[in-house]
Amino acid sequence: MDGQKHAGWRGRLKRYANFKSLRFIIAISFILIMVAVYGVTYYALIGKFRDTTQRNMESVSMQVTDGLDRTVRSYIYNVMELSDSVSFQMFMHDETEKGPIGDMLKTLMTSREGIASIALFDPDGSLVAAAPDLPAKSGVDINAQRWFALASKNKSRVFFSEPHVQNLFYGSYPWVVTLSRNVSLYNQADGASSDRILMIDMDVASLYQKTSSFNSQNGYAYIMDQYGNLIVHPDMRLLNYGLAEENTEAALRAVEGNFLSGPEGKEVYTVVRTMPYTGWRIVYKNAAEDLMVPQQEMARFLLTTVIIGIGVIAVVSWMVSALVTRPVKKLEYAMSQVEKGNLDAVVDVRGDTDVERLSLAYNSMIARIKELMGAIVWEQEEKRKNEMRALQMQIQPHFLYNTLESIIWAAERGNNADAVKMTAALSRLFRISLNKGGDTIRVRDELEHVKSYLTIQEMRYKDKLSYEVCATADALNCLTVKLILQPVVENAIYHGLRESEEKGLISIFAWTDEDKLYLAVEDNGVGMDDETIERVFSDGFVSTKGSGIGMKNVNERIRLYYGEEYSLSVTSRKGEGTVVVLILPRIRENGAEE
Amino acid sequence: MRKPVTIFIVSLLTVALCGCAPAAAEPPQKMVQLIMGPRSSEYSGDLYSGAVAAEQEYGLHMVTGVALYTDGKETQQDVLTSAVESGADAIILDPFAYSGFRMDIEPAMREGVDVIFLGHYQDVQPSRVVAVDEEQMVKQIAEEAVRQKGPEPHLFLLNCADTFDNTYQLRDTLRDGLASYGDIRVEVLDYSKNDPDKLRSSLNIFLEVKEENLILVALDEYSALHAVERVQQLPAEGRPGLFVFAPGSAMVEQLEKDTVTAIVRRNYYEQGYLAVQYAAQENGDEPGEDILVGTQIVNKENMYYPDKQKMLFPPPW
Repeated sequence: MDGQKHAGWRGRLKRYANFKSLRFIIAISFILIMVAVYGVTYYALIGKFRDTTQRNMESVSMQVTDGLDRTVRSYIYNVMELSDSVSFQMFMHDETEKGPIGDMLKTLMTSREGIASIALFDPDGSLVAAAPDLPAKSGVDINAQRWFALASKNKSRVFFSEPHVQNLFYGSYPWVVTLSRNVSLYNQADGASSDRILMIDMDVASLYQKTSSFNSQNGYAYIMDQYGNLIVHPDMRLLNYGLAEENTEAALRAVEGNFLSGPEGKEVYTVVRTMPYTGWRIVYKNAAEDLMVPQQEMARFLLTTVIIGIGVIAVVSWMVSALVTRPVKKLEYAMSQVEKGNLDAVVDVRGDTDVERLSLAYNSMIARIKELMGAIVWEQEEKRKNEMRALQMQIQPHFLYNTLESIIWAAERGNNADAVKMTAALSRLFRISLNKGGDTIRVRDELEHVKSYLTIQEMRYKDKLSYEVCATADALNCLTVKLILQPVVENAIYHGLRESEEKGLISIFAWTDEDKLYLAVEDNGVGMDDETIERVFSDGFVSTKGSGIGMKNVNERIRLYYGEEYSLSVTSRKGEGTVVVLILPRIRENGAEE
Repeated sequence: MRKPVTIFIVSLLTVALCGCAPAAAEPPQKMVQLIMGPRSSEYSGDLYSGAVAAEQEYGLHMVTGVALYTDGKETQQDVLTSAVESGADAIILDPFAYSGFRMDIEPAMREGVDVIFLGHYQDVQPSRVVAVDEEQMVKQIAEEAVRQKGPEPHLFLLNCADTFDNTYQLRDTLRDGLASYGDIRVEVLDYSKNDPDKLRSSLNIFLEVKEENLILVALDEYSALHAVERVQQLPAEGRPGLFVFAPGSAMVEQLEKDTVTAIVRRNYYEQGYLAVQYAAQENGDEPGEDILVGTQIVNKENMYYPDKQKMLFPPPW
């Protein structure tokens, strides 16, 4: 059952996926061409989109970095300006006129944003003034602080420290970057000037506030000093605790510029700028992965469109190929029918395409073949009939000769009664033989015919021959090829009984089964060995006695008329007799009673 | 022909839909319920900041439920039940260690909700515990105590019973852990804010003995402030050691002034972060090993080290 199922779906699959079929080739060609076109288009569009996205990403990154650059630069300039202002004010300062330096520092500090504290120190590290007014811690060694030492040694330069916690004042621990420089305090009274160290603490938290607005879902900015120390980073706390990482190496090396880094699909677009005075690097990182999301969506949309497009084209091309190949398929089907012997299969032609014109020609050709085949069949039939007649004609002279011989013999002996009887039998025999020219006669008549023959022979051989006929009613009403029993009986007489010294008996039986008719001739003569039987049926056998054409003639006629499966069989035993059985189809005469 | 074509079209549409599927298959945003004490304490503040940082990084939706001190047990249970009903994917709970009350997390676990405890709570087994590495903490305190006061220090733990800092568990951990070192003597004072005299009188008793190896260990801010106040009254010479579990700048100043001799800094920020990070993941049903965070001891010698500075003064954003 499974096998049948498989055969079913395999058959269907084979039928629809016949890779050599014209339809498949047309459809697949169409599809391949469209796939190629779509593929090229897809990759061209994706490439274009990727380029555009990348350009946009670069453009956005540059814009953001420009804004960041301006903000940080402005902040640095502001602090530098503040330090210059302090320096200038220090030089011009007259405490008697303008109040303490601390007030001046407070005034300057309040006018600027993002400053944690400003302080002036003596070269020995003691605090001169500070703003805001916070208590300074005692015991803090200012000289040990790097920013102070640098400013003390280099009077003409401005220094920026690494980010650190300012711990000079009680109650305040801000993260700052300290600007330090040497400033001169001019004494209006004596005209002398003395050095002071100016400290301006740039508030990192404030700087973060200024730069945090540039952070977005896609990108973020951070600032580090020239040594790679992070000053501002949105994930500062995570980085401090080791919960996140920031690779500052590449940005530190880059100094200025922009680059794409990271593995494919997770690229990061980085823009680096270096700030004046401080050597700070501002770094803006844009996660290409996030920016590529629209590209991926676009790619997915395109891919979906392409798949649907290819699908539609596949269906259409499959249908079109079906339309194109339908006449061919019809022609192919008609040819396969003809191949199976059905010459009535013609192609239903409804159009005027090339293939349909071919189909019309094919139809004409098949019609002509059918006509020729009919002629051949008729000729064969005629030939067969002629052969039958020729065979029958072989028998008739033999009958006539024998019978007339017997009549002559009876007449010479003055046995008129026998002559009359034989002549009557001969007459009956010929009447049946003629049978209005038909090839077949009823078994009843065939038996009558053979009885007439036996009557003649009985009279010829007197006490040496007797016969009996036994037939079923059904057999009597069946049809048989005419004159097939008489040669067999003749054979029995000449080869079986005449050699026997005992009185011969010929028994004739006729019976039927479901589909066959049996006619049997049995004699009790000398019998035949296997070699003789074989010889009797061989092509070259010619009997020197009797008609010389008996058994083989009968056998050929049966096979010629009814086919190869019907024939004659001989069973014989030397010294005991012979039985010949003719096996014929059971064909009942029309209107015959059961 | 119709049947195979239909199959073909259906297959095609399926493929096309699969192509579209990733766009539609964005995983839903996970909802995390954080149940904790008021954020007024530095402990809770750090915890919350860490949790928020992870929430932003992993794109979660975090809801914070504050369990009030006065009826903390019930409130925590109520918030937990409510979170389960509102479809939370994970619940992070900072359980109050009250004895006699057992948190019922079974309904949440049955619903497949990840229940994450910030610290151990009685014998209730949640999906995961994110806790301070107690062993490491005790070891560091013990080593610092020995370093400051010699091989047989005497530690006096001050535990204010009614703070938000959840110090009962800390008290027990230190008491049992430090005692296991053998040479370290540990004593505990539990008191209430409503009874400051108890703290005062107990401190006086201890300080009058003038043990050279005495270290006061303030387990909460309240105790730390009182201990600082009391130690400041003592002459600089012969002061006891003072370890505080209070990370504020006030304590840093006292460290600079030698009043406080060590600040024990547990990383609550990391604890909050790691708890939410765990909640963001796809976790199995089986509870795993505890996720541990470290503790650092800040003393006068190392307080200016960059890593200590970063820890003591985290950026305000």
